[in-house]
Amino acid sequence: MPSGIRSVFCILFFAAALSYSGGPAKASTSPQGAAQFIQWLGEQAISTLGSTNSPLAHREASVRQLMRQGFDLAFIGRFVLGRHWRKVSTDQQAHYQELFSSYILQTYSSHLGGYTGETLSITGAKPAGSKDAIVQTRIVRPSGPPIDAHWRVRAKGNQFLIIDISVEGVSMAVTQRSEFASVIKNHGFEGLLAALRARTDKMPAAN
Amino acid sequence: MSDKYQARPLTKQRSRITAVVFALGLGGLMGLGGLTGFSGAARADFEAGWLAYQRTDFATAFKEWQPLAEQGDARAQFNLGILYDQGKGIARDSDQAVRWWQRAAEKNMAAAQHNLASHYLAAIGGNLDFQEALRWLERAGNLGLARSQYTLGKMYGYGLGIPRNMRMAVSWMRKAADQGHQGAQYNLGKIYRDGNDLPANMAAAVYWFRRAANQGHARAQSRLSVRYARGEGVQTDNVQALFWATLAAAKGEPLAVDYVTEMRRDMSSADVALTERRAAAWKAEPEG
Repeated sequence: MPSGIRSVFCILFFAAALSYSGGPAKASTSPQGAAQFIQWLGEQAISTLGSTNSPLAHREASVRQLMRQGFDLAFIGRFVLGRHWRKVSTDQQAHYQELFSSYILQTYSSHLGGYTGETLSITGAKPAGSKDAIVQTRIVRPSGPPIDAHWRVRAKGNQFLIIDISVEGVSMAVTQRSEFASVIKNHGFEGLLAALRARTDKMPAAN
Repeated sequence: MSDKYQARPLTKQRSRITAVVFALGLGGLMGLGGLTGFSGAARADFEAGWLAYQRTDFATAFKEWQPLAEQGDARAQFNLGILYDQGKGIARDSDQAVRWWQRAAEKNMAAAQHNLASHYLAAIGGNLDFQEALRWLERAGNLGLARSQYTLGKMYGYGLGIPRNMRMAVSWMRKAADQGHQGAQYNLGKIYRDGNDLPANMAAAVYWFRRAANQGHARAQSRLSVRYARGEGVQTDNVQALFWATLAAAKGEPLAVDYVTEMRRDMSSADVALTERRAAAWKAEPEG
């Protein structure tokens, strides 16, 4: 994946970090409400990372913790696993969800700080299907061309949750679904868990 | 771990001697630099890089660490690998990350060995290299790194890249669990509960589930709850069973959510209220 796209992912994921205490849940998702949610999340994430009163690793962990509330991780994780979900034990399902959530949160959150000076702006919002809204955003970077990304947001309970991101027309969830299926085919489900663990359990920078 | 690889500050006198030796061209002959520590200036450069890293100025961190890494400083090599791996301050490049981690790993830096192994296990592009992963994990595991020991336990337990060997799995899991690794404690609990190729031992399963549960491991809390409910390896105690299931359910552990619903039906309202109060006041006790 080109680094530019990765940088967008990380901004978007980071921006989605925080819970939103906006309007009440509705059967369909208000595009305007979803756009405000994304905007607000982005601002909160940048402010959390920009503070320097605690070690970077702690700030990144804080943002990951906040991000957890901005994504429907269970929904995404299950979609990405596809038909394999029903073939594994309950314990394996739980372990997968734990690792997958860490993977989503850690992979993308660890990138944001590397792209200081980027700005995220909302360029549009529209309904998607009967339940969701798509929020269109543009990331402007100090170097390189701007990147357009679309967030699929669903109102659930009393909050908005991100259920997918598309960058340059490529859905993250669909891409991962295909990648995971390939790992399972070649190395089994425990091979996938090992791969996810390896991606999320690296040692951090040393001092 | 960090102490072992921390650049050692030199006294002013030793710095001067080092400078003279290098001026005479004897540095390589005496093995200075990569093996015997770095000058005060190099240490200052490393710290400048670290401070820049902390304020998310990764471009500056890269500039400070790169020359040190080229000179053989294992910590700088390791951190440079992190910058490349995560695309911090520089375009993401896993080949470069591997290159720098390899250099630090060859100097016996366990963290670098672990990350190198993680690269081979991460299956980027669908390919795993279990053999390389095992090689580096065993080196890091033997240096005492709990994460590597845990991963080795998993690989032996599931036969990933090697024939399944439960004795080896237990041996590595035990090393990590003794150091307080929650996942290893939980997995040891499962191995003792199920037996697999070894004799089951419910008391040992309860011991390890409890240690992980006390640290806040939700699945271990859920499994400990079941042991109390069934009286397996511990005396039956429905209040304890509900207590641990309540904690696990609060973290979204799906089985525990069902247990809580079932158990509450069969218990007195006084017991339920007491358990809820205790669960609300409970705090995780991380080991170490």
